Amino acid sequence: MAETAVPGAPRGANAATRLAARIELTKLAHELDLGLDEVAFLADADPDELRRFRTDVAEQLFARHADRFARIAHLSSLVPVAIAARAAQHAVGPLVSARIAGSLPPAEAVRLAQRLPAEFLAEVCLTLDPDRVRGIVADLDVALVTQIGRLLLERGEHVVLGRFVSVVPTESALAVVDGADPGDLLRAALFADDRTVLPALVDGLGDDVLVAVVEHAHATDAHLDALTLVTSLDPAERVRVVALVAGLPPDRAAGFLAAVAEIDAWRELLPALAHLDDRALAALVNVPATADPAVLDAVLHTAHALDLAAPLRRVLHALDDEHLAALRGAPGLADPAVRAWLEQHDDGTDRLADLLQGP
Amino acid sequence: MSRPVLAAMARRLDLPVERLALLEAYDDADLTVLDDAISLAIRAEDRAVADGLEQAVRFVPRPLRGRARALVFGSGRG
Repeated sequence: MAETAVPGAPRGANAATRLAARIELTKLAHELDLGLDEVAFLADADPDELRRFRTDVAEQLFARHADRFARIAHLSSLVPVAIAARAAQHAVGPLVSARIAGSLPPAEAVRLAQRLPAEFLAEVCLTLDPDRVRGIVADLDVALVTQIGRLLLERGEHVVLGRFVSVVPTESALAVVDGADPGDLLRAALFADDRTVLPALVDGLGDDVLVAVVEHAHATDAHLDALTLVTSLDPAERVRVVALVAGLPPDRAAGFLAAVAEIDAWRELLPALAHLDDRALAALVNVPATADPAVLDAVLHTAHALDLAAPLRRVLHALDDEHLAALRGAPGLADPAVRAWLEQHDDGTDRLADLLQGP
Repeated sequence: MSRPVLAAMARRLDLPVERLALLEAYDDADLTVLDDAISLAIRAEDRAVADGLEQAVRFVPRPLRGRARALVFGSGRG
């Protein structure tokens, strides 16, 4: 997601912030069992503050009975594990089992979980705080974790899956989404609480799966969702996905680039563009969204702010006449700081020199 | 002075009201829906915990049940 908008690129973070707020509101609604429409009044709130509020609510729900959870965890050690498993399933129930789980010694919790049906454990996951059971999940049988994940996926529990994505082993996460609907895949990734794990997951997905996700985003007008994930990837995976987009029919690239322009994600995209071959680069940069001088101005300012002369030079060479004319209308070309930077990289032999000389 | 709906929510969440500054810009009607949902979630949690623990004690072998009950509910309940 776009970080701080660069100077001269004020179109920036509004759409990205709205999307981040929508993701947080979905999680808050899930926590409080509300409809999304009932928390929609918070749509313009700061996403980080929404996240803190949601965390406060979850913490308070847990803290009210934390001492009892610790005591019942101790109680479970007084009975054989088979009885504790029956009690969890038939008496304690999934909500309280979820609260107690984090208070159990991990080895005991693992033994208990292995005796419970995946359906019950999936119910437990709905209210389980993954951070409290990180050590337990790591030691669970991969097949059981996969089975639980698939049950949650079948039920459309994308928020829950997103919470667990940083806790479950990559092998299990990939097994859960193997053969999944691309829309489910996109939503589960979008709700990931910790996006730093996404590059490893995307690395394990085949090109056909990533293409299916992009196609789904195009068909459902969810380019912003897809782009949000692309910006969470590491540079290598970002280049891979962007190259796949460039290879699709032109309207897919057009939708993707329109989303990039909308949330001003040039900071993330421009370095990736430099790794594309000429044909792929031309396919991506010559779309309707980039025929707008204001959009190309944002590209220019981003390149300047991040000192990305080489990627900018490649983009310049890939632009067709219509887009080159639009770039000539970019206000940034008259900005002394930008101009000085461009002149610094002008060797007089390419389009950069032409651009600096004017029409 | 903080608005009553925010003060009530802060008490419910056991937070200083300043921690809810995020919500100050919104209407009482919207915040009341939010506060009601929090209240419901807390009541559901309390009920689930009370019922679940009461039932759980029944799974403890009879000779240990009194000790288990004292452990879970405190020595005041028998």
